[in-house]
Amino acid sequence: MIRTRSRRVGEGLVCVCVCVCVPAVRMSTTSQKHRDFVGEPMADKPVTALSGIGETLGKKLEENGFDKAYVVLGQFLLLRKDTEMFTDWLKDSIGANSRQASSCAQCLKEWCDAFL
Amino acid sequence: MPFVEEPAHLFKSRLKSDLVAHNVALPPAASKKAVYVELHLKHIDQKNAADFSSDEEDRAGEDKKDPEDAEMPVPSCLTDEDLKATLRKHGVKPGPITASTRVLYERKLHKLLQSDRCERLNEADKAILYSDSEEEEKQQEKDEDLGSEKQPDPSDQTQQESSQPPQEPVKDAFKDILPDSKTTPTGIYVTRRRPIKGAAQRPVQYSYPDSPVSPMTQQRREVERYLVPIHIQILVFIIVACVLYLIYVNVEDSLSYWSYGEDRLLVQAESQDADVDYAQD
Repeated sequence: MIRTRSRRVGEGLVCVCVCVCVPAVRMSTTSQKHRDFVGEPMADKPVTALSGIGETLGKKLEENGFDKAYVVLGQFLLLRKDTEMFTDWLKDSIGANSRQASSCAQCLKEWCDAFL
Repeated sequence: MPFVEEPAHLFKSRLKSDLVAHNVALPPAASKKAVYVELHLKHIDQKNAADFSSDEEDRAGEDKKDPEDAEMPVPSCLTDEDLKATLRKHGVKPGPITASTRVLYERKLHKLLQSDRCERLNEADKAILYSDSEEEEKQQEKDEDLGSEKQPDPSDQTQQESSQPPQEPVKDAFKDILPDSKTTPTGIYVTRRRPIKGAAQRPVQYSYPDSPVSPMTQQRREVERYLVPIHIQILVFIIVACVLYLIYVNVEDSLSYWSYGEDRLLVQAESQDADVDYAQD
């Protein structure tokens, strides 16, 4: 009886470790928002649908005249789809940080690769 | 400026970019257009007026800077077309230069010009390194010249190099690297080149986004950007393996412990029986 109990404990621990470690090793940083945006044509989606752009940044973009996602796409295309220059522009015009800007740039780049 | 535009007729974003280009502090983001127009009139139009009226004074001041300016145009003073042409010269293919993109391209050109300056200094240093010991006195004079003016004339350096026979291997190396460059009567005409990554005294300072890489490398880089780096993956794998091994060993130990314990119990029972038997006797 004792033998089987300790064996079960061991097996349980093994399962827990595997379940925790395997997804941790295979991490990637595309969020659900990113996947939602890149999965379909953007149509008339607002700027807040872009990955990395939340309420605050969305408002600032709208103030600058970029009220829809396709307008931001326009700016991205004007810069010849250069993610570095686009992130610079985002940081400059609306004060996004590096993570948000690169997330948005990556999102747009993948959308362009899929639909443009 | 080729022509002066009425600030009130410009878009707010254009006003903003103009202000940034002239290093004027921007007002808070929520300000009205009138604030921007005012600032624009105050700083930029004054500057233009000053430029137009005091040309002679400026020329005297500019003469000193001319050798530098001839090679290094100030990005914010260029027209859109000039900016585009200068960027193309540096190997960058710019998109349309509009109000929103102008500032970014100016900044890019500024970075490229700075890296040019660093390259020229490195080349000068390299030339000095290769110079012969006999020419040391001449070099010392040259060093002083280099110290005073930031832009050493590359043709002078090549003149010195070509005049010395022991420098032949260096010259040939240059010719191999630049087979298409036009040769002047004095030697090789050295043009700007990309820095050799990681070479002595030429550390990688700027990574150009458009440096030639294969599509596979680009893909790999993009994928690697949002996956966990390989070292961390290996480390995590080793840790997990150790944990599993420890668990396995513990389970084995507890198994053997319990079986050992059972054996001991049996032995104890036997000895107790023996004692009892002995006691009874």
